[in-house]
Amino acid sequence: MSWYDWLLGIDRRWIFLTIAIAVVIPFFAPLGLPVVVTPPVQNLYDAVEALEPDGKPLLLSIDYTPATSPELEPMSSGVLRHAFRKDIPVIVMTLHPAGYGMAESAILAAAEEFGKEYGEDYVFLGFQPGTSAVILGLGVNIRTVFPEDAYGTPLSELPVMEGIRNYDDVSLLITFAGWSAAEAWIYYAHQPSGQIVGAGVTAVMATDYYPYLDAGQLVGLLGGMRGAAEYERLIDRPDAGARGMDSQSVIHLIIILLIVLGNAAYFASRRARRLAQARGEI
Amino acid sequence: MTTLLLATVGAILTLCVYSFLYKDNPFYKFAEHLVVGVSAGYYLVIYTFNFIVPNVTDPVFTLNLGGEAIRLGGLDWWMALAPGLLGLLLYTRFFPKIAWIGRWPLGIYVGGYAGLGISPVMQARVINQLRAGATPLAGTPDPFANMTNVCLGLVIFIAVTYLLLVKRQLGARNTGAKVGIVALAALVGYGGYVALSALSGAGVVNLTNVMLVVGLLGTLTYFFFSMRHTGVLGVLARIGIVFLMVGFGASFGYTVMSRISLLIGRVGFLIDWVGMFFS
Amino acid sequence: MRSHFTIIAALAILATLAPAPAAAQEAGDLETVLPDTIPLDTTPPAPVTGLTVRDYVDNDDDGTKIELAWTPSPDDGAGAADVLAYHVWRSTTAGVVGDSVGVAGAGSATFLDETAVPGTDYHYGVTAFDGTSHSAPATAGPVRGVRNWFAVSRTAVLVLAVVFFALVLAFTQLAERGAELFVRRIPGLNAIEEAVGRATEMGRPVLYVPGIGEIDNIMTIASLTILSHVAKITARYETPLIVPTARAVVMSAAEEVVKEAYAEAGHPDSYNRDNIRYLSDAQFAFAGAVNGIMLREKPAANLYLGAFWAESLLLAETGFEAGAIQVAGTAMVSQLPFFVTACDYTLLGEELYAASAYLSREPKLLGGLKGSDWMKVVTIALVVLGIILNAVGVESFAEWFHTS
Repeated sequence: MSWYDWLLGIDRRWIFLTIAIAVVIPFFAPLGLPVVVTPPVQNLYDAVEALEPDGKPLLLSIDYTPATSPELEPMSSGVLRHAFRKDIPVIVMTLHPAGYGMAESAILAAAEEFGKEYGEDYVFLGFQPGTSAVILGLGVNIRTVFPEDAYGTPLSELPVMEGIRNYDDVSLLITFAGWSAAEAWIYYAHQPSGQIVGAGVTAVMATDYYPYLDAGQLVGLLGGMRGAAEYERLIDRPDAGARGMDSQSVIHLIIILLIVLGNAAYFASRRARRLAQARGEI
Repeated sequence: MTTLLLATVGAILTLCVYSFLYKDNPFYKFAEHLVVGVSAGYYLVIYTFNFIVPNVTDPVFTLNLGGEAIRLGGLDWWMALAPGLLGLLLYTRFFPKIAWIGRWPLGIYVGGYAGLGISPVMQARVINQLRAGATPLAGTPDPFANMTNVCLGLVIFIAVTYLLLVKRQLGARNTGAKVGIVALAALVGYGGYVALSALSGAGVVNLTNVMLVVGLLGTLTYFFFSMRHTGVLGVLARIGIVFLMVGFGASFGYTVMSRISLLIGRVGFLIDWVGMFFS
Repeated sequence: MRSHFTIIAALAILATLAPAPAAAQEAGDLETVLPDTIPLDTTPPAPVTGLTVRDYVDNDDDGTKIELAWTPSPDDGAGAADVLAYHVWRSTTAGVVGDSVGVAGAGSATFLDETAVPGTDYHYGVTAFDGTSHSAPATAGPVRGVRNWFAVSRTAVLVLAVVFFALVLAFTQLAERGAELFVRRIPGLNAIEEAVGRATEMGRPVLYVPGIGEIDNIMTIASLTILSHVAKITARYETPLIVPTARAVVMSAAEEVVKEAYAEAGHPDSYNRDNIRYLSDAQFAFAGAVNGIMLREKPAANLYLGAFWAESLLLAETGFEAGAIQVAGTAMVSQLPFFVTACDYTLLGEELYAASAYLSREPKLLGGLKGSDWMKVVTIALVVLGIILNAVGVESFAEWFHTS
């Protein structure tokens, strides 16, 4: 058997095993590869950095589900920590029923870390179904969409919600989503109301969002775990994003190697077949 | 203790799912069905207490909308009751004789969403993109100039190599000549890079924006079906397909990154879980 | 200049914290809102006169702006020359001064309140303030902010929407009247026919996967049109056609389509109902089952046309390994990269709809396709015009498309 036939016919489980080993090793022997900050991430960081302490609140829509949380949870934690460190009031909500638990755990962890008080410094509005209708409704009156917070307290009893009526009273809006919710925020919050929107999306979605960045419809963009790692570097608080980047880099190298080998084997086998055809063997 | 217990349940389920990589087995099936069942129950609770109770039943039955009293038969009361009733009509599909009633709320729903969507989506995806596309081709700062020039240099290198080696069949039987031709192409490509850098450095032309416009026009032409793709149209369409393929390549790479991130996240969780037993 | 403003602002804040002007007692209508403690014994400035209020109107008036204008106090810059600022008060009840909505510096005669709730009647009051006490208020009202019916800055949306809808409707009308509308042949259709031909030569079946979308998904509908075309060819060559589906309704629709196509091709007996199969609603279970068909029944041509999600690569990869000719087509942009890498030919996005319109000549599909085609021409023309105007220094054209 020639090398290319062997390579093209290899049991894929060997590749799974290689990848698994390559993921695990950097957890125990970190390589500390550098993370370079890209402009879209820097822009989002700058937008949060420019907010006034105790000024208009930051609205975070934590729209991801457990399925995409490894990519998006480090982003939401990074932004929450950044906001709390700067004493910016935070309103958290979600457009996905499975985002409820994700949002709650992210905000509780960050609030505990910075000693923030519920109702005074931050609030969790919970979930409402209807994506576009919810986003449009928030532009008119937040109380008609969320009559009460996630725990049944009327918004009028929460100090952080005082004087908050619609997007005019919110400084910046950031969505973290592994589905089209991020696009919906651009359509229904940015376009009609001019609300400044930033987004954290999975790497799969990232390429689709560059046109919005280019047209100024997004103030900044975090794409995938790498975006999270860059944000963690900017706030100088490495965590889950940075931790995964070593494994990520190693695996990318392996995959590039596999692509090159795979292509070489493919062309070699095609060439061998053509030669055989020319000799009249097939 | 609870943390450890929950983490253990999570870890075992993760391992059940990953066992599929070896081959399909009952453990995987168990985990898959568990996810479907649990999420159905979870969604029911979330929808009920986050939506149905505060937005429908509380205002309609206890006249309480977000802590404020509303009037029975007032506008707020009707605005809570009417959509609730329309929603209930969807369940008429269980009774074949009156199933047609279900089309009414569905019609309102579909029509409403289409109406809500047309203007914002058109603004976001067409009009503002059109404005971004009508971009100045010179005289504006170009933060991506170097990247663009490197790419264009590479394109020149590949084009020259292709023209000489494949089209002209130069040095077909001579490995030394082939290396020479590749070296020559590399030199031409590098020369192109230097020349383009000088041009964009002097502010004569913003090559990134030129690429953007060429890509936009090419791609739009590729999806133009009312004329045959010959002549200028054919050239533009071919440029368009190159941009599309580059876009797909970027998208593919990002997807690999995404999937690997999910794996890393799970592996990190498993490692933390094992760590719990030692701390 | 800056420090001047700071002083005014500081004074304004102090004033709102404890404003208890002696004169307020005389102006009876202030009693209801101000505490009746007596601060420093000073003379308040003379009040402003001629206060007018009106709904402020601009291009994108959302009804939240009210404009105030007045004649400054005689003590502002003249007389006692002690006016530091004018305070603007707003209330929903006549005769009550209400809440402070802002401060205008000395010398100013106008103020724009941008915090009004549209449709609410307001009464405004303006007092001159000298640092310790307020003048009697000048009052005016009621006035209400009214939203514009038309947002001028979004004219572009209206114009382009009208153009687009008009194009689609016009082409649909033309098609319904039987006009010959030219649509170029999609190369992907040739690829599909070649693949089916290859399967016939090899005497192996054709596998047609119409995606996992529901029947209301426009991609599924386009796919069924193409399925009809494919079924006619397989009927003619008597090649088995296997159609696995993930939705019960799609299965019955596919049955109809294939049966009809076989009848039209003159081979109604060759139609095999068992080859149109329902496998599973669950995405990955469906993918697994289709993979099973590929490995067991060894189709020579795999056609994936319709709406696909994450199962796209699983299907296309297995088909590639099994050595089948594969043609895919979907408008799910995120799945296109996988089909492009693993298939011999891929119909990209709109090509799927174009192929379906080309084959069916259905007026609505044709109208939509031709309408969006000419909309592309409009877009290209606008972009090119924008670039040219930009180059000669006219930026207002591109800015006309700035809608937020």
